[in-house]
Amino acid sequence: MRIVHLSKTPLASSPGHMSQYLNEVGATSSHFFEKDYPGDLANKMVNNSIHFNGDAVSTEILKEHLDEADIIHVHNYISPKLTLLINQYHFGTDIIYHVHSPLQEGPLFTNAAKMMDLRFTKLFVVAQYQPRHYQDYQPICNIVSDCKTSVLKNESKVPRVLYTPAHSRKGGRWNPKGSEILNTAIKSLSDQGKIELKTPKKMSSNQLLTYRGICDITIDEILTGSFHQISLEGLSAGNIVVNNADFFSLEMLKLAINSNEAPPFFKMSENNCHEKLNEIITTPNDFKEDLKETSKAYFKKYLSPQRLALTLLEKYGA
Amino acid sequence: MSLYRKARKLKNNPKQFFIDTKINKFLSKKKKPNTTAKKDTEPRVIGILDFDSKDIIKIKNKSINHASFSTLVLVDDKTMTLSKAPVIGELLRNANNFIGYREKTLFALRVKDSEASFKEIYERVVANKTWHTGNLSKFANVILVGKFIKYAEFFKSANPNVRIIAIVNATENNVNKYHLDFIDHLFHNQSLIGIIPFIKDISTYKNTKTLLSGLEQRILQGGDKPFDLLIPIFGEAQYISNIDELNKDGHDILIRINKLPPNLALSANSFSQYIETLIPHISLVLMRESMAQRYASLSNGKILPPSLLKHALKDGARVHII
Repeated sequence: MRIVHLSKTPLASSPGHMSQYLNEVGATSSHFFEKDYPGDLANKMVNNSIHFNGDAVSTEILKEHLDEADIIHVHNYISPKLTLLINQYHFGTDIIYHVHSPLQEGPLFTNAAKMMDLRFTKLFVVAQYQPRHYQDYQPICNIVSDCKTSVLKNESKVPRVLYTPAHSRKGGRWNPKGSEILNTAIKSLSDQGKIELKTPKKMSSNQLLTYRGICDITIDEILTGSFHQISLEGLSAGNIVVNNADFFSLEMLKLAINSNEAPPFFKMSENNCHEKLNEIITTPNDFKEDLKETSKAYFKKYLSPQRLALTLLEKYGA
Repeated sequence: MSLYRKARKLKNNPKQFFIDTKINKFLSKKKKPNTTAKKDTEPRVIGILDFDSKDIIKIKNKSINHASFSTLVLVDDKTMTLSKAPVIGELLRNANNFIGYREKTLFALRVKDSEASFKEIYERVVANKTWHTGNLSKFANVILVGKFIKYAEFFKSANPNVRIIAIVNATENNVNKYHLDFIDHLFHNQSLIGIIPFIKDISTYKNTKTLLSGLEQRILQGGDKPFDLLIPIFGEAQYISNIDELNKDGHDILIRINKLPPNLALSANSFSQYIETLIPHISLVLMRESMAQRYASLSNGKILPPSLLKHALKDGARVHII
């Protein structure tokens, strides 16, 4: 089966990873994006992807790929230039639309699938909080690489905490990521020397995952009731993963990965974050290692890239 | 407008093309009396929405009192003064010092309607920075009358907490189902009973008086109140020992599930299907009073309709499972 992924931006490597791991399980896949991230993130999320900049060469490559493809998998939104090329050169059976986390909670919950000149045969939605907005779409789990370095045990007594709120956009129901209360709690623990706080910035997805592997705890956002890709990366890195994922976010993940076990996330809210952080930190080291191993075991059982790539293939075919 | 789009417009709608040509605009401008000065001095007008302009939305920074009762009404820019505009004209005449109709709570946004297709408008809105400034998220309610219902989606997306109140009369009985999904409260006159497929909270009005009192009620429902308690919606409401604590935390809905089958999610293929398979396992639902009022037409009766949970979750309800 030949699958071409298309997206406007690199979408934090999500389509790139799908394409990469589909290739590993016997399919043939490529990912084209139209515009890279600006500034420090440029070139960091596109390891497995091809830049379609509209020039003669990239157009020629894309035309060939479209012509050969069985499935076109469109992520979030693509420009009319690309939809035109699809309609000219693609004669396969399926064009799939896949909605991710759009950047702004501006016209966020508008249905972009209806705004592109494409006839979609299947509709996918990333399996975090978004299925409740796209209620008839099939939830799909993002594919995260397996972090090989996570076998290293942290010998130092002070747990390393990785906390990198992605942005400080305010307002909206699902936008907020940084919590002042949580920031204060984490900073005070760090000042007291009870944790070693790590806040790396602008790393590539592979670099960040490896870095996560030498940490003990990953903290995702705790405000909205969703979890994000970093929670999955935390499991891959064998970290204790802290978030405030609600019932429906967890159930949608179980649906997407075909599991009747919920992921071993450590639940914490703004109201109890002081207490919960202390609880994790004061957990005896042996027990911390057990929790970390539980994270890694869950990842291996349900979230391994090969397993999720095969699941994706099934969903293409079903 | 690009040459290509002009040519397309000439092909698709030649009549409109000639109406819109510059020479016509020039002539019509000469004939019109100068009304802009009058409009700008109207204290309730906060700005203008123009989908054909470079800055789609221009809003003056005005202070808002009683934000939770505040309302924005879309008014056709062709209407000379607000007193002549439908609905808001009536509201202003019948204000009676109601908290929601005072000078710093009730505002109007003038709209220059566009001839562009909905899809073109959508693309412009997505790309336009003026839409993302947060200026539109200050209002608790947005009232859309008649043809402006098509913009419901845009106002909903600019502010997830907004209540969209739509008013239709007999001449607009072909309201597009697509736009209905983004409306919270719908008022229509009696001749349309049973015609519009809308279920969230629908009311009919006989005359201006009943419409105004209906609007007043909806604005009061969403406004701040001393208590917004969890009230039973479905199931036997037993004594819950920690109800005071639950009322204090930030959840909007409380759901009791009897023995959740661990593989329930595996039998569904979408959120929608999941909710339907979950419903038989739910024994109790409590909801904040303000939220129950928001879905008034959905939560009557003894059954728990899947659409109640689907709508509430889509609108961002925070759910606590016990």
